[in-house]
Amino acid sequence: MTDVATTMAPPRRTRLPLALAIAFRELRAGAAGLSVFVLCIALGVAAVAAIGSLAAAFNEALAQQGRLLIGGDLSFELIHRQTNAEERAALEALGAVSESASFRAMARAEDGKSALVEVKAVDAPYPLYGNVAVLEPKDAGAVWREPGVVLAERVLLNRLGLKVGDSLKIGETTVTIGGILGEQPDRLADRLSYGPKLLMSRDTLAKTGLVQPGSLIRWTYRVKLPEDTAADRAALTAARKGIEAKFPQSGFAIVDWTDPAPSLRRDAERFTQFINFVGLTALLLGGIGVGNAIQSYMAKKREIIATFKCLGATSRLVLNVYMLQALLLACIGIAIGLVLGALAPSLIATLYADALPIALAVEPHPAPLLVAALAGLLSMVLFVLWPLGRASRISPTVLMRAHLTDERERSALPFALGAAAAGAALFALAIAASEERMVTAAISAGIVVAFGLLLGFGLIVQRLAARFRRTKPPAWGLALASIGSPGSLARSIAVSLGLGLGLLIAVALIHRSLLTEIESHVEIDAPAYYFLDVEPDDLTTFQDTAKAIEPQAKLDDAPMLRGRIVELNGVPVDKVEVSPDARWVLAGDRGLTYTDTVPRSSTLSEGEWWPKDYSGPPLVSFDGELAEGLGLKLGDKITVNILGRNVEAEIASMRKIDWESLAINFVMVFSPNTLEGAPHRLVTTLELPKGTAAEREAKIIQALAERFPLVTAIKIGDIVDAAKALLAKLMTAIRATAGVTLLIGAAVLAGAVSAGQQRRKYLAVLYKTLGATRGRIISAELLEFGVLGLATAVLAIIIATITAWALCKFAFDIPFVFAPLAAIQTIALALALVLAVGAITTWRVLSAKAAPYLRAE
Amino acid sequence: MVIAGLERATSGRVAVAGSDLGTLDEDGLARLRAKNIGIVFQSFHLVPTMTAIENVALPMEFLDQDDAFSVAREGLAEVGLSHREDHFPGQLSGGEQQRVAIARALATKPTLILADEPTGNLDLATGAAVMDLLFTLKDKTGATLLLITHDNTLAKRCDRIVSLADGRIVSSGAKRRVRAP
Repeated sequence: MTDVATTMAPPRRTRLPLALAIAFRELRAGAAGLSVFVLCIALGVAAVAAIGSLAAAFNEALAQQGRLLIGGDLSFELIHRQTNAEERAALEALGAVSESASFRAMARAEDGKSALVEVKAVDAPYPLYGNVAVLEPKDAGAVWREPGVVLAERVLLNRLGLKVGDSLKIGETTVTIGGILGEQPDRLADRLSYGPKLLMSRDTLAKTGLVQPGSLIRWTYRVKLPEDTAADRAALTAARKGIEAKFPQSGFAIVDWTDPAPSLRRDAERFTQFINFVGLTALLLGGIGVGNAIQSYMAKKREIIATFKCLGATSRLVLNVYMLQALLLACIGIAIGLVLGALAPSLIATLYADALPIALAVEPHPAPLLVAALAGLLSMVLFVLWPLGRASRISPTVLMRAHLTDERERSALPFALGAAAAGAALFALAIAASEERMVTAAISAGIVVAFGLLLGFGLIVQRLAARFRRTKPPAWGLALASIGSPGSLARSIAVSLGLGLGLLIAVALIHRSLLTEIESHVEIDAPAYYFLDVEPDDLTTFQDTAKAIEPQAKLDDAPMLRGRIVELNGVPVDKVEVSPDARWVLAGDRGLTYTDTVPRSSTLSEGEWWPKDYSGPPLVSFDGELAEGLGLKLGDKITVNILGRNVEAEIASMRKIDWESLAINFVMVFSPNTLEGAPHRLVTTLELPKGTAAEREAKIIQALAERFPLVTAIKIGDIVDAAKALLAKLMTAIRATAGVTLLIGAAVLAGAVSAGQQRRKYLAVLYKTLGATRGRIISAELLEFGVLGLATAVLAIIIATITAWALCKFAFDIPFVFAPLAAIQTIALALALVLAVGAITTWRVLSAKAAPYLRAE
Repeated sequence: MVIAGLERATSGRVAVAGSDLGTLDEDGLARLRAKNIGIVFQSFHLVPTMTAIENVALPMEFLDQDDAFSVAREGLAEVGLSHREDHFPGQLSGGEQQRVAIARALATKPTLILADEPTGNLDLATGAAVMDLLFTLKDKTGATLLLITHDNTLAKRCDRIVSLADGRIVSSGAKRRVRAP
C-alpha cells in the first residue's frame, strides 16, 4: 500500500482566500435568518457602547470644561465668613482672584408674591473664565454690574408674573430685572438648587442687608493662575498644598480644574456601574440570539456542508467558510452598534440638555467603542464557535441519509473549550473595563446564574407540559404537546424575555417603594416649611406672626451653623477610609447645632447625654449609622472647622435619627458650651394643619416675608418634588436600558420562533390533513404562546419581587411596597410581546401549502 | 458509500487509488475524494447558493487548482451547458442539474466516477441523454465508472456487473454472465 501522506500530499496551509470566496458566494445567495444575528449583535454592542460612551462623554466634559465648571483654575470655598486679610493676600499671590457670595433668599414681587431664589453676588473680575449669557435682551451686555440691577432665570419671572425691566424686592432693597440669565461659568460649583438663579453685583448685595454675622452665605474665591503655570499640574498642586499648609484652620474647601466636581463624578461612577450590569445582560442576551440564529442557519446548511465534504473539503475549510460568514455579519452588527452607541451622548444631550449638570462631550470616544466592539466580537465567538464547530464536523453521509437527524455527533470538545476561552476573555474584559472590579465580577456571575435559572425554569415548564399533554379540550392538548416536545419554545421564551421583564418589574417596584416612602412621611408628619436665617431675637415675633394667621400652626426651631469635618481622630479626612454610603458626610459642609436635650425625632442609642449647664471639654452626639460608616465609636474625636477655627469634640453619644420625617435633624449635635459663642442664626420649621387652604398658606408666607425680609423660606414640598423629579429621571434612564434588554429579548425570541417555523408548518399541514380546522390550529398556537408568556411573566414577577424586596430592605433601608399595577402591566407586556410573535407565526403556519411538505417526505 | 469513504467498513479492507481507506482520517478521506473520486448523486446535490460554473469549479478549488474556472468552463461546454454558466441550480431543469453534477464529478479528472442512481430523478428521455453523456465522457477520460442502478438496460452497458441482494453479492463477473438481482 502506498503511503497516504505522500500520495495525497495534503495541502496543510490555511486556505483563507478560498474560504473567503466560498463565504461570499454563500452570503450572496442571501443570509436568510441571519438578520436576527446582525440585529442581536448590533443591539448588544449598542447597549455597551452607549453606556461606555455616555460615561466617557461625562468624564471628558468634566476634564475639558474643568476651568469653566469651577470658574477658575482653583476654587476656595468658605461658609459663613469671608477671607481675612492674610488669606486674601495669599490667594492674590497665586494669581487673579474673584470673590463671590452664594446664598438662598426670598425674592418678592410688588404684588406680594414671593419665591425662593439662589443668589450669586459677584465682584468686578468675575468671570475669570467664560462668559455670562444674557438671553434677553440680546444687547444687554454686563448689566448685572450696575448697582441695583440683577439678571434672573426665566423660571423666576414666570413664577412671579414679571418681565424684564420690572422690579423685585430682595432683602431690604428693591432691584430691577435687567435681563434673563442664561448659561454662566461655574454653575456646577453651585449646589443642587431648589430655586431659580439670580445674578447681581457685590454693590447690589451690600444694599440688601442680607450679609449678617452667621448668615448662611458661601464665599467662593476663584483663582486664575498666570498663563505660564495654568496648564502645569505640578504648579496647580503646589498652589493648593501651599494654601492648605499655610492656613490649616481656614476650613477652605478646595477644588481645581482637573477634578472640578468630585462628588458628582463619584455619583456618576456608581450609576454607570449599575447601568453597566444592564449593558452586560443585553450583550449576553444578544449572544444567545446570535447562537440560536447560527444554529438554525447551520441546520439549513447540513446538506451543503456534506456536499462540500463529498467534493473534498476538509472540516477546517468548512469551519473557516462559516466562521468568516459569522465574522462578516458580526462586523456589520458591531458597526451598526458602534454608530448607535457613539450617537448616544448626542441624543441624550439633545433630549435632556436642561436636566444635565454639564454639557456632555458628544464626540465619539474611541476607548469605550473599542471595548464594546471587542465585547461584541468575544460574545459572538462565545456563542458561535461551538455550533459552528459541530456543523463543520457533519458527516458527508448526511447526503445519503437525509432522514437521519441525530447521527452520532463527533466530539466538538476543542470548540467547546474555545468558546469557554472566549467567555473567560469577555469576563476579563468586563472586569478590566470596570472601576469596581469585585462588584462587576459578582454581577457577571449573577447574570450567568440568572440565565441558568431561567433555562432551568424553561425545562421544568417543558417537562410539566409533557406530563399533561393529554389534557382536554384538544386545543389545550395540542398546545401542551408542542410545549412539551423536543423543539419546545419554553426555554427560548423564558431566557429571552425573563431577564428583561424581571428588570422592568424590579425597577417599577423599587420606584414605587421609594415614592411611597417619600410621600407617606411628608404628608403625615413633616413640617411644611423651613425658614433659614431667623435672628434669635426675632424668634418670638416670628412665631407670633405665623400664629396670628394660623393658630394651629406648629413651630420648631434650632440654632444652626455650618461647618466642615476636617479630621477624624486626628487623621485628615482625605486620608480616612470610609464606606461609600457615609462618604457624603465628609464631602462638604454640614449643618451643626447645639442643645442640652435629645432632639425630637431622634433617640439615644449609645452613650449618655450631657447634663444641663455642662461646661467641660466640647462634646458631640453623632448619628449612629453614619458613625459606623465612618468607623467612629464612643470616645473618638472629631475635628470640625467652624468659622475659620478647628474645634475638636469627643463623641459622647450616638443617636438613631428618623431622617425621613424631614424635621430639623443634624448629623452632629454639640454640647451648648461648644458653639454658643459663635455668631449664628436659627432654622425654624413651620407645620400647618392638614388641609390648610393654599390662599391661607400663601398669606402666612407673604406676611412672614414682608415682616422678615432677611429670612428665607423653603417649602418642603418643593424639595420633595425636586427629589421625586430626580428619582423619576434616574428610573427613566434605568427603564430605557432595561427596555433595550427587552427589545433584544424580542429579537432573540423572533429568531428562535422562526428557526422552528418549518417544523410548525409541517405539523400544521399534517393536522389539516388529518382533519383539524383552522380555528383549532389557531387556538392551539395562541394557547401555546400565551401559556409560555404567562409562565415567564409570573416567574419574572417572583424573581423581581424578591430582588426588589432585598434591595429595599438591605440597600435602601425602606419598607417594601408591592405594586400590583406594575405586575399586571408586566403580564400584559409579556403577553402582548409573545402573542404578537405567536400571531405572526400562526399566520405564516396557516398559509403554508400542504403539497410541498407532504411531497418532500 | 464505503468506496467513497463516506462510511467506514466494519470489517475487511477497502483500497481506492492505492490508498487504504481504513487508515485515513476524515480530512484524509476528503482529500482522497477531491483528487481521485467524482460522485454523481441521484438527487444531484448541487450547492444551491452557487452558480453552475462555481459548482463545477469547487472540487478543483479544494485542490488549489489555479485554472479551476477555465477548466470548469470547458467542462460545462462538454455537457452542453455553456449558456447556463451563471445560473443557480434552482434556475436549471433536472436534466441540466444532473449534467452540471456530471461536469463537477469529472472536473478533477478523477480515476473513479461513482454514480448512484444518476437517472433516478429524471424522466426517461432525459435520463437516457444523461447516461449517454456519462458513458461518452468516461470513455474520453479513461476513468472507471462505478454505476449503481436498478435499471438492467443501463447495467448492460457496463463492462462488469456485480449484483447485490439484501446487502450481499449474488453475482460478479463479465457482462455476458449477468443475472438479474
